[in-house]
Amino acid sequence: MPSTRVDRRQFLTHVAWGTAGLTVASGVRPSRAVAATYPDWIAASTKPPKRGGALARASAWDPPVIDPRLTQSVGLFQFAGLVCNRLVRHPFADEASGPGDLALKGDLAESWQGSADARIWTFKLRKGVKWQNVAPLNGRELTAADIKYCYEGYAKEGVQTFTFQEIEGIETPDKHTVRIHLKTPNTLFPHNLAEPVAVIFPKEVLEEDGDLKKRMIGTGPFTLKEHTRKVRVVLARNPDYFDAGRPYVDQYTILSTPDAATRLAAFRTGQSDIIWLASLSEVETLRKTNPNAIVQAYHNTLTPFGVALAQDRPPFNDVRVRRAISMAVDRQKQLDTVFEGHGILGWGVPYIYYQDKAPTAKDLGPWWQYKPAEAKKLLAEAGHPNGFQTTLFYYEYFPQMTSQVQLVQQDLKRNLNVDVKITKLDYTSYYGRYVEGKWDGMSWGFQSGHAVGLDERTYHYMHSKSTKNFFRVNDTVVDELTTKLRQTSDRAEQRKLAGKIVEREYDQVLRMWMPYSNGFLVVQPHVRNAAAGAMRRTDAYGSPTIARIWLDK
Amino acid sequence: MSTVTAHVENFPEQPLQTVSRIRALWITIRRKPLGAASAALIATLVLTAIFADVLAPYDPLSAQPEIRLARPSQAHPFGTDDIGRDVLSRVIHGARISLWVGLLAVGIGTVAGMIIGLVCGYWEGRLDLMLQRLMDAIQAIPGLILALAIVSILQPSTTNAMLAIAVVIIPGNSRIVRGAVMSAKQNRYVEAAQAIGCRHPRIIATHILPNVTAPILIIASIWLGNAILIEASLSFLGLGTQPPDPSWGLMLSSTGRAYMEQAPWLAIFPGLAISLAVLGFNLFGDTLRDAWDPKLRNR
Repeated sequence: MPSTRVDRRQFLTHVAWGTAGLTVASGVRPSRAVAATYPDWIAASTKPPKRGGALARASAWDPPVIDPRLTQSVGLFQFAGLVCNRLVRHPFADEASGPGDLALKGDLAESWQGSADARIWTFKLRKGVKWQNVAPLNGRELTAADIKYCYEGYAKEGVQTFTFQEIEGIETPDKHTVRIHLKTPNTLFPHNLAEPVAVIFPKEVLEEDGDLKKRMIGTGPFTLKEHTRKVRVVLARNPDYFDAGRPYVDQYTILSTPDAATRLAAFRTGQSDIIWLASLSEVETLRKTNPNAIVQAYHNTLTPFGVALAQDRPPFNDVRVRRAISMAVDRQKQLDTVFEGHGILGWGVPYIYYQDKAPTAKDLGPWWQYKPAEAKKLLAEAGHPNGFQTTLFYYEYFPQMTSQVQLVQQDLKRNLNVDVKITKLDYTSYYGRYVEGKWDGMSWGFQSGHAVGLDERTYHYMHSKSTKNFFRVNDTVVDELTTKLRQTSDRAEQRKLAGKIVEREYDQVLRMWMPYSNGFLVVQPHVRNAAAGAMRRTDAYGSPTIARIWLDK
Repeated sequence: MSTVTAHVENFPEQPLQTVSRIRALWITIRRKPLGAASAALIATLVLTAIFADVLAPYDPLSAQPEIRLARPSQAHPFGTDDIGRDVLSRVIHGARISLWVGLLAVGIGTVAGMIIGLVCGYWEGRLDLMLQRLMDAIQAIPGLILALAIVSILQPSTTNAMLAIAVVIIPGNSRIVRGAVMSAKQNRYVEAAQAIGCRHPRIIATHILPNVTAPILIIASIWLGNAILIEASLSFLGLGTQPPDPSWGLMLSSTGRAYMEQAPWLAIFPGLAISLAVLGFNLFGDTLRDAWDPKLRNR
């Protein structure tokens, strides 16, 4: 019998021929971005929903920890909002009039009311809501005391202390009434409780375990059946959910899939029902194999990413330097090329809170226009005629970000002779360093993506005393305006104040926003009611809408 | 059953044939086409790295986003990347980084491994015991994991990636040199040198070192390929060369992987460059072994 053993030399020879063959066979396919239009909203199905079936999604994220007090990571909140509820919420895909519909709806609360001075907020709880039928809760009824315990827990420790420490005290006059006293007036307080991270956890688990890292039990539409870190999360339908008849699907599985190509393959083969794609050409490539996939062309109301400058120290504490840097970056080119025209130029407060239409380049003001000559002049006036050296660290949240970082580096070198040394970090190192806020130079920074409400997007992210002020904004005018905004109940006045905050931000270049992809939500043809709302992506922080998804097959 | 006996004393004495190492290599290369091909491949890569500035048709860092992800054409034979940089120019300049990392890392690793091996093999004793246990400890950790840990501590950069690779190389090299030294020092001429009062450094330099250079050079040539792969892996994981510098591994990981479906040339060409370099150094290592190992020379 002839030997089938291949020695090293033969192997190398085969490899040589193989690589040569691959080169010839590669045939270099053309890159073609076909112009196509997709709707920006997928209306709810008019057919009667069907019960049953299993939904799955290959996910880029994994929860670092399942204790909602300790993280705001999308890895956790891609399912925490399905296991647990909030007091109030935003409309789901089958209730909303469009992506920008942000009218508050009751979740565990049936109704709510604020005092005239917006310091006392009273919530009437829905009756008959039961915790999931899992020990140690065993399906007992949710009461006002649970809400009080949970909010006090958030105020005590974790990443949400800043939000909940504004609570002076909580009263529970009866089993179904929660009265919250605030230290200072806040007309937007209920909106903070509707944030996807403000989920209600049970006291029994925290008291028994000492933390919430091992078990997640809530009152939500699904129970957490399995969580294997970096493998999968399996959610099973909660038969005792208060919203009778929902959820429609029996099981929702989230497969931890950090590699984009694997996520795409999972969608193609039907192992994943929902996928988020960043560019039109990716959508077109996918539709070659899955022509019936349903696509929603998402429209962002803000960007979560921008160049964060160490503006509490030189040279970025000089507004002229910040303005010069901003004017030296060609944002439009990034938008047209990297995001293939399907994106926004970049602003940090959702525009729907201060104007009707998305801002144009002109709306952003003089310091946000691409004017390299003026930028150079301004930098010289600031005492840097020959530029300077600085650093920029980042984590690649998506491939286009690396393209953007390099384009910014090139713009700054070419236009201002500013040398930027780039360091790409792993997520943990990046997050730790960025959030700690002691870094020098620049970072490709973010503001937490979960926030929907205006208070969170202004006071919480921009006030100098806020622990969520990652861009290190320290501006007395912004402090005043953001405080005033939360004390104003009149909608028109709120819009005016929000506009002023944004104007001040643009003028002082307090957060140097960068273009951001709008992205595309793609679902399998049998998935109904999965549309993504403004700041509420179905696959991410907007996951609670999955309770309304049904499978038409 | 028959018995064959040989009478050694009856063999006629033959004159001793000595062939220099360079000549032996030259003979092997001429006899084995694969060896010649590998030498030509390495020479091409080295020349490409040296003359990258002349050979590259464009500035490898110059972005032209308007022509991003352009397919291979006459103007851009390897196409363009995610921000419109010429891939051919980046592959050519990438040779400089990849080969530089490979050569320097292997150089440091080989020299350090050789010194440790010489010291351990020649003097043995407690020092040998301590150093070899340290080498054991380093070897117990898989190479890539060790390199990852080192770069994570030192911060990602090309220099630190190089140092990390060198640390990975040291233990294996020290083992090989130690064994060769222990064998060489049993020779009569070493004993004779010691007997006539030669100092240790002289004995090591003139009598032992020449005996261990052949194996170490062969191993080094094979390590060169591995070093390029480790650098590629570190860059792939974001811990090696940083953007926008063109390293083959980084090109493969950043744009190659992200745009695999839309622009396959972004993965094919740097991947091919890595394959060719590794293949070239591996085959050349084989050729060196064939040339310098007397047992294999005439096969």
